[in-house]
Amino acid sequence: MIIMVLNNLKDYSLDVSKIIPIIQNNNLVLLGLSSATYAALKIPENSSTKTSASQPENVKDESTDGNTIKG
Amino acid sequence: MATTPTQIPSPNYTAGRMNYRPEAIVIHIMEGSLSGTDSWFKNRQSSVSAHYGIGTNGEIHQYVQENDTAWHAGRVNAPSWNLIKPVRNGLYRNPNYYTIGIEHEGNENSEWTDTMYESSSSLIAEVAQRWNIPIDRYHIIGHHEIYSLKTCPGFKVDLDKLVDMSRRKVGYNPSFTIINQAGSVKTTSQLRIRIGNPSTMNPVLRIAPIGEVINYVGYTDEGQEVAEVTRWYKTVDGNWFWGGGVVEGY
Repeated sequence: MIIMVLNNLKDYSLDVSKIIPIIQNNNLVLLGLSSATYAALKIPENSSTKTSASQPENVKDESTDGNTIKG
Repeated sequence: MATTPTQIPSPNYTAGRMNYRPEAIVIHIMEGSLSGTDSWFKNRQSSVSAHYGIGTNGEIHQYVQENDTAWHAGRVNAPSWNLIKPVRNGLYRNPNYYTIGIEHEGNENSEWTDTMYESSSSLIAEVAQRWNIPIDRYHIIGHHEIYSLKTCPGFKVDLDKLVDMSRRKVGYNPSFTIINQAGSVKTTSQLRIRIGNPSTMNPVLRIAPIGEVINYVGYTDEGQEVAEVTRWYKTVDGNWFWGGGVVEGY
């Protein structure tokens, strides 16, 4: 594709917009996919990290809600 | 002699303490071996940790730094600990944020070795001095005092003995002579007035500001040595303050 572009660029009469938009669109599509994939992966990762690294500031007395956990 | 723990970092901790500070030390039993606990605390899936673990041979491992919050006492069930922090009915501040957790090798029916008592009391003394935690049974507690469904730290440990050994390691003299001679002094710095005994391991009643004149009814030269000063004064209310922070004759 690069060779094709370079060859076509030699012809100044060629409408460049007919070549470049194809590349830009590809880039946009690629960026869009990348962002979506990143977001899809990152959201649960962040959520998980936050949950495991923090502790609640207040805790409930488990004896007050009929909890019978042993251990 | 300072303890030198082997560092076995655990991923199971919360960075910092949310503006709280260590105010008590929670004693645990591992229900297992020191090496098994090392593995368990290194495993992120376990979601538990403590600051320290002590083996029956006296070996000390450190899993979480004292400035950070270990996950050792974050559940509350019918607590009997007097100093637990209630928020409102049935809700408490998470004890993890204001305690240091020390695990001990063995199970609830294991006899504690003299070496483990020795090592644990040395560590407790050091931690208590670092954070100005009084060494008494209000501040050195068993895990079951927070979570009553557990028997942790078991049936064999003598917590009174552990506290007594720890107190002696910070220079506390349980038998001191009081000279009954009244007088008054003026504070040369901010000075803690302590309840009970002439020792920094006793709870603070209040902090006297610099320049306050305090009347005393007696003193002892056999109190805890602080900066080579063993004199402590007894107030008219029966509390104590250190002689190194005052000048006489007021």
